Amino acid sequence: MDIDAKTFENLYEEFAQKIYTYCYFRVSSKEEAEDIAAAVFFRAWDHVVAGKSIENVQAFLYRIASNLVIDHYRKNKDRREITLDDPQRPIEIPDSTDIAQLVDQGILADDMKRYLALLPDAYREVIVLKYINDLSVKEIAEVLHTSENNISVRLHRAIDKLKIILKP
Amino acid sequence: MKDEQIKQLFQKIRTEATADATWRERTRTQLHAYISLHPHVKPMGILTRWMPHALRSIAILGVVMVVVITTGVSFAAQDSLPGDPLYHWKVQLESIQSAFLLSGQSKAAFEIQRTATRLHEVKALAAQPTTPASVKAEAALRLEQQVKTTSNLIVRLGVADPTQVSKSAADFQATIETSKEALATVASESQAMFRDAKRRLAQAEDVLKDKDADNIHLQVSQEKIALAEQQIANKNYIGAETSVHEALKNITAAQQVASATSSPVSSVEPSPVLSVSLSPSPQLTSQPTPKPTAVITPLPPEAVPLMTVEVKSSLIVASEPLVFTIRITNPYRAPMVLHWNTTCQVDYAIDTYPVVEDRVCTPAFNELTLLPNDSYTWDFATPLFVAPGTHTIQAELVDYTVTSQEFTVAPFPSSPPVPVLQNP
Repeated sequence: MDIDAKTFENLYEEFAQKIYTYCYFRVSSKEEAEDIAAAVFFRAWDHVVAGKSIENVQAFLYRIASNLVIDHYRKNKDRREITLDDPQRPIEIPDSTDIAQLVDQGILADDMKRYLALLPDAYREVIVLKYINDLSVKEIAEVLHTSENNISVRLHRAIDKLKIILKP
Repeated sequence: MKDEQIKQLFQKIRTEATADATWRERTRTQLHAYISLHPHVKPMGILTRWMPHALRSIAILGVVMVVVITTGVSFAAQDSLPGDPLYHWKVQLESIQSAFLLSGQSKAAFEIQRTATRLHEVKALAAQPTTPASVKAEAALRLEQQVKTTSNLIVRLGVADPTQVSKSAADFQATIETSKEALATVASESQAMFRDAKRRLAQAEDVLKDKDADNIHLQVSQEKIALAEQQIANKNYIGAETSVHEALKNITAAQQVASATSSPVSSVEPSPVLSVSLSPSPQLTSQPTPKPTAVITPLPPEAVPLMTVEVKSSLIVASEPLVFTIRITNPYRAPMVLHWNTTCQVDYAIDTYPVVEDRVCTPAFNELTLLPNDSYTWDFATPLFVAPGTHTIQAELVDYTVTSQEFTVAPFPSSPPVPVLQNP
């Protein structure tokens, strides 16, 4: 796909929210998500200026975001480990099996981000892409440069892991 | 907790991640400024850039290609094809030769030559009618990958320094076109095989729809055809070939069953479980035809299929991929229907269990019917990263049964000794 400035700015309008959402649930911090999401588009423009074509814009942007999140983790490894467990607000595992009722009450949703943070990063990534960013398995495979089968497996395991975390 | 409930939870929290309007506006402004400072200048077409430098670059690349090819060690493996015992040596030698090339030009020349070699292999295999479809598909895959590698390399060289690449890029374009034709041939063979199976299935359905519409063989063949269609769409020609063969086998079985049920009494043995009591009547001149009833032995409780792992070669040289097949067989005299709550059917690991490595999950496949003595297989080819010695494939039919199979990895053979020149 050949991209000029106008097209690229339109792409920003289309994808800014999605990329921000993805970053937000990967790094669990509003400010850091804003920085990373902004950096995605600057990096993408650098790629365009270098004369390289982009076949799948969505996959390309998510891929840059994924790489920047990984870089972020590497730089902030110690800090990230500390923030997973907040002694001021321990995660409460619900003892009711009526999850739907809890959802309506907004009880679980608030802790859901922290449950997500308990997942290994590879699992969290596919969960966010599938259930929050609403990408299909095929689209996720394109973003992460792997096969649809591998993504199906990873999602399956991620949900299993999440169910274990959520199990009363 | 159900998947649907989890989805609801995520829908709920998604709304928390709405980007600030302030942030969006600020980023938009910064991006606009950045774009203005770093404008995108559309480059010339790749070939247009290279063509003016044809003469000098042809000479350089020509010399490089001659040097690369003539200094390569001559082995019997050079003429081998995929499926031949020496083929993997041929590929290894190419990698070794490539490692000694330093300049971009020489690398490009070598990769162009390698592409021509892969193309020759595909064509040579296509001309051999007895070559298994799986071998042809492997050769086609190698060709596809090599075309991508060479294309990417030429583009990188052209972007970095347009003076480097020239007429050879146009020549490579011709190779690409020929490669596409060869790859299309492999694909069309699989598609032709699939269309033939589909036609036979339609014929069988027409014949059987009035006689035996619930024929289980027919149902199984319909499932196999649908699976083959999906596999062809995914370019999994090896899997499609297996599915088509299974479908044709079941079509034949369906037709045989239908023929058996409509045969006259003189050619059919009455079933021992059938009890027919006929009152003799002076008006009747012949006995009515008893319809034979198949003896169906019910499955034992907790029945599971037999599972085996078949390794293509029990002795593998280090750096070769591990090629094996997981097979399940219904050893009972009743059909066996396997269900999976997810779409993952088999899993395996090397040496460790139950840590899983590579589950096979087919999106359209979470149920499988095995007729009595029927088998189903999954093929694997995986790179190995284990030390020389004996290892074990631990395989699992998800939710049903497990098995294992040993194989041995031999160390990578050392290079032949270099002859020492004697002083005159």
